[in-house]
Amino acid sequence: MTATLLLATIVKILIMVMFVLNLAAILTWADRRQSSMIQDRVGPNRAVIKIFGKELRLAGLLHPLADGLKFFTKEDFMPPNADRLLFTLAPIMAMGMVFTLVATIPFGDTICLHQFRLFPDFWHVHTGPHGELLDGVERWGTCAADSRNGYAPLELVVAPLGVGILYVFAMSGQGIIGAAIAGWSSDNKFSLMGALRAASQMVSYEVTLGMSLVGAMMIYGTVRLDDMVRWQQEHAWGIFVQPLAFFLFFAAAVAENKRIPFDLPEAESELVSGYFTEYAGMKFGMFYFAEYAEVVTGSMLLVTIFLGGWALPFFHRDGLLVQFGDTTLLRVAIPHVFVTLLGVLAFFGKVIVVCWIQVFVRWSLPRFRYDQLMKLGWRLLLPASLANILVTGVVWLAVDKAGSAASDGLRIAADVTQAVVAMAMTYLIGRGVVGMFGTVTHERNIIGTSAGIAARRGGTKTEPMQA
Amino acid sequence: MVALGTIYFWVCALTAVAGALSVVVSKNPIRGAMGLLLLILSVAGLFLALHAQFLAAIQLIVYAGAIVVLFLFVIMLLGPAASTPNDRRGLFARAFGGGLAALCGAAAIALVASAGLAAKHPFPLADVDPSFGGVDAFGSALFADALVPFEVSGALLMVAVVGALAVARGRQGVASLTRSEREVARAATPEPDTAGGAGVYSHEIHAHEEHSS
Amino acid sequence: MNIALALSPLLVVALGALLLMLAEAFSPRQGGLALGAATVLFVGAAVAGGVWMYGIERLPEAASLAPWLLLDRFGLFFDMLLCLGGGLAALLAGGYLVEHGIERGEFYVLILFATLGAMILASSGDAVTLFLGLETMSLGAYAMTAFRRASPRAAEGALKYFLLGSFAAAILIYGFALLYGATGHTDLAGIGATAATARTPLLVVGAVLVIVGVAFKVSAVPFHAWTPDAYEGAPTPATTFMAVAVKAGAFALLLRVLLIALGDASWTSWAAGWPPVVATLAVLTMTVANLIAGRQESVKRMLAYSSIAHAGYALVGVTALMRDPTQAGASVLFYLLSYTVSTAGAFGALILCGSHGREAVSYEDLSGLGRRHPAAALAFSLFLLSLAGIPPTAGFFGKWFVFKAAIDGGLYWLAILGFVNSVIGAYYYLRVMVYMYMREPAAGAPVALPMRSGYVTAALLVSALFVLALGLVPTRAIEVAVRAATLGAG
Repeated sequence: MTATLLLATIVKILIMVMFVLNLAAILTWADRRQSSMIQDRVGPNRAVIKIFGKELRLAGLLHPLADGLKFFTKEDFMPPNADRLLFTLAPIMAMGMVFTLVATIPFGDTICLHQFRLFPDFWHVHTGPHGELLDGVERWGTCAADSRNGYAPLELVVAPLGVGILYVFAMSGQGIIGAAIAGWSSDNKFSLMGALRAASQMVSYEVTLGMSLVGAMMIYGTVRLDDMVRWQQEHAWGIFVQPLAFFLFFAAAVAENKRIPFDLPEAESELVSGYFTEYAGMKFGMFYFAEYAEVVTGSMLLVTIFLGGWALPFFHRDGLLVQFGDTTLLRVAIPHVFVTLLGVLAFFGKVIVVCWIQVFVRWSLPRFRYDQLMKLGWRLLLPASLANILVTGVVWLAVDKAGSAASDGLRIAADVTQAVVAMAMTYLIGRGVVGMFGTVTHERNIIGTSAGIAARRGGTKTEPMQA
Repeated sequence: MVALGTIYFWVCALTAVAGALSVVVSKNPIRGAMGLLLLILSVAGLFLALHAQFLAAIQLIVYAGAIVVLFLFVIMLLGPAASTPNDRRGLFARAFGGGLAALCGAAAIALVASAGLAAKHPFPLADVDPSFGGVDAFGSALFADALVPFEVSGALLMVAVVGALAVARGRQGVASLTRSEREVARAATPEPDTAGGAGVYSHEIHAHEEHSS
Repeated sequence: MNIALALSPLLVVALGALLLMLAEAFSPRQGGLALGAATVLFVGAAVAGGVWMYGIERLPEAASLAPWLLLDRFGLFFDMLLCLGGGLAALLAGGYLVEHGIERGEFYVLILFATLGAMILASSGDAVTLFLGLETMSLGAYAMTAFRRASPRAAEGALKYFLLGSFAAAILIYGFALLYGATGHTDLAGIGATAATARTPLLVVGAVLVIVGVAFKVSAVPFHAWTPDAYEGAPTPATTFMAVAVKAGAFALLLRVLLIALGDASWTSWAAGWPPVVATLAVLTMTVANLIAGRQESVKRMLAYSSIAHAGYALVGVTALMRDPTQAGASVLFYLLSYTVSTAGAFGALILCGSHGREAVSYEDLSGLGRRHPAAALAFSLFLLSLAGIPPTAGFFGKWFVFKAAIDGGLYWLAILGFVNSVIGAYYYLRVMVYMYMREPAAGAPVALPMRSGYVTAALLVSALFVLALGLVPTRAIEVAVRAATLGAG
């Protein structure tokens, strides 16, 4: 039994780490590709691999691989006056903290196993004649593990910690130190400036990051991330109950990642590349990678807290149940394990979408000035998050006092939001699928004057664009 | 399992002591701050062993995530000029003070250890109520049992903020200075250090290394 | 609701401070904040008086806050005393800050919060609230000391005060940690109950550290080193506040600790308890401070040493707690009251003697003041006489009751030493008067030009009223002090 648990834990760690690593690698590609699309140019397409005389470019997807190879083979340069220990430690801290952070993020619902065995019996338990879950497995909540029925919970989270989100903050706080000592130990004034900016910026936005979640914690009544998802599954997604907090958290998370528009610590037009100016080779690669890994973990948090985590609308642990208030419209029994696996897929899918949105944000907005950044953080976002806490508390009390009518109304409203989400998801997925098979029309949308003149004269390119 | 717990305790305790020592001994302030970080992390580890999950998390958030970062920030902001030159003055006073502190420390450790040995607490602690040390337990302790100190600490934080603001804005008082005060103030203001490196103090460090090698 | 009534002095000050902050942030023009702060504090004192009259015993719900806050007559007495002292300091600030061009609203907020901290400190019955109150009070005082940061003297004083004060707080909290380790209690009553039965080395070390920490705060010799510099560097209203409210709060802490946590007969005996320690502190404080005060050339610094010396006289009364806690406690409370009004008045008079960015600090500045500005000189003289302990002023009865408590407690030598010291002290108080009335300024030397400020005048009037009232009819006040001390012991 313990061996199985150990094995399961290793598998869970592998799933999370592999997902973060691979998605981060793909994001480096997506970032550049998206920028080229926005800027109406081709983007990375030079990395090529020859198989049987055939050139494979894969739309530039080989670039992350090539980057990785390059990082490994480049000279590991260190400035002569650098503080060697801290200079080496900094990228490890920056990267290590991101990966320890994912340990408490649940990527799926708890699976109720009949027994822990080397080859667990996934398929034959749980569903009764009407698809309802059998003894020990509730529609809501976790697997009631007791010796009475022999069900054992397999939690799809690496470390189910009681302090949940606080652990995430504890770890993300350490990431600041990595950036700070990187800049300091490089013996370079640009690096030092970058480190100063990084430290002040991250400390400032850490406050908003935490405060914006207090309202959500009040509503969910827990700090455990898996319980937060369960609440959202049962009621409504966090983005509907805490819309302001969603945006505050999103903004603060982007600022924590030090990405445009908050990339002052590495502003290349001012500071060369900020705190990692002196870094080369794999040490630079670790910073580079840590940034994208932070995008992924930030998205995971956002998904978990505000976008329902693994939850899909109307999918419960025992199947599909479309219900508004007390009216049941549709009920389909689906084995528990299938629902759970679907949830896992949904979680990772949502994370990818949020990552993509972050990439889009990066290439759409200009950089803030430093004082604007501080003003935004301290004078707009922080008061807004405090006001959010106040309003949440007042509304919570009001609903609590208002009695059953209000809570019934909210109940139905919550179901409606589930329906809205379901329809939106269906539409978007359908749109995506149709788009995949539709023909690609390339429109050139030229606004700029010089480009406009060129276009009126018949264009600068005789060849069609290569995509 | 007991052996594992004991090993865990000793690892955490020894790294904590090592971190604390490096804070005191380290000549390079940033390394000192890193020692502090090590200390904080290992003490958080000890809290975990005592089933105080929440305390461990808060320790990391507040001390490692905010206070050490502020230390780093201030050290970096001050730059190399802030490092004090080697001071050989008052060796006797220092030896006396250090000896006194060491004596008091040793006595305190002996006292606490003797009291602790008399009580015979097992380590790791016996299993406790699973809610112990969690957010719920901490919340009810903070907001029900200890509401008064909690509210009072609000006053403390408020006065700290207002005080910091009052002192930070205090340059306005220049007009009220007497002439002699102004002269002293001018003499006390250090010339900006334009010659030094970015802030690593590394010239010093590497000079040492070269000597030793 | 009854809890709110019992807490109302604290609530008034806390809410007033918050409102004042809002007023400062949103009011279009500066000014008037001194009036607001003083009003809040005097209302706080009045409310505390109201609760005193109503009878805190009639609000049994107040006990539900124990042991965090002990809402008793002892606490109410200190609420009134601290609000009075803080209110006087706020009034003085209203004149001083404007006159010297450093008027900023934070100062008044700091006074209010620091007073609140001192009130919490005086009411607390647990090491946790006690420490929180102490730090609230101290942080406010540190910030006020550093208020004129551009001045190197203020910066030096504030830094010394801050470092030594933090050090003292660390010692104090370390002592309480050891007491907690020895007894398993953070509340003073619990510590006292365990301390009465068994005396371990841990307990003794903890008690010593606590007493040392408090001695820092009351600036008893040999833990006084920060006092002259901090008092001299701070803006004079802040000095007033430190001399008055911070000291009173620290004495409240000392009394609570000695009476509740270490109040058992085994701890109050001369042979094996704290009285010899406190007596030594008292003798050292009085003697050293008086001897040094006589050698000062700055009146402000002289008043700083005088406040140290007065802590010594009060410690004489604290020593006498060993025999009769009620009488000795009452004498200390009365002493603190008389000291508060006299010191606030003396500093107020010193403030009055400066104007337009020029403070009167040295004796020479004051020469001939009696002829040029008789009213200012008269006020100054009254408060100096009170500080010297000359009838018919409050200071006389303050010293009288303290020494009487010492004599009743059998501490004749302590009373005699205290008396000798007051005679020494009279020298430097009278020296100021000699300069004011019998010297003329040297030709071309700077002379003090008194300011015109309604705030300062009001503060001086209030102080003078109290000084004379307590000096002429002290019976009512001593009855109040006795009642406060009676309950404080329980």
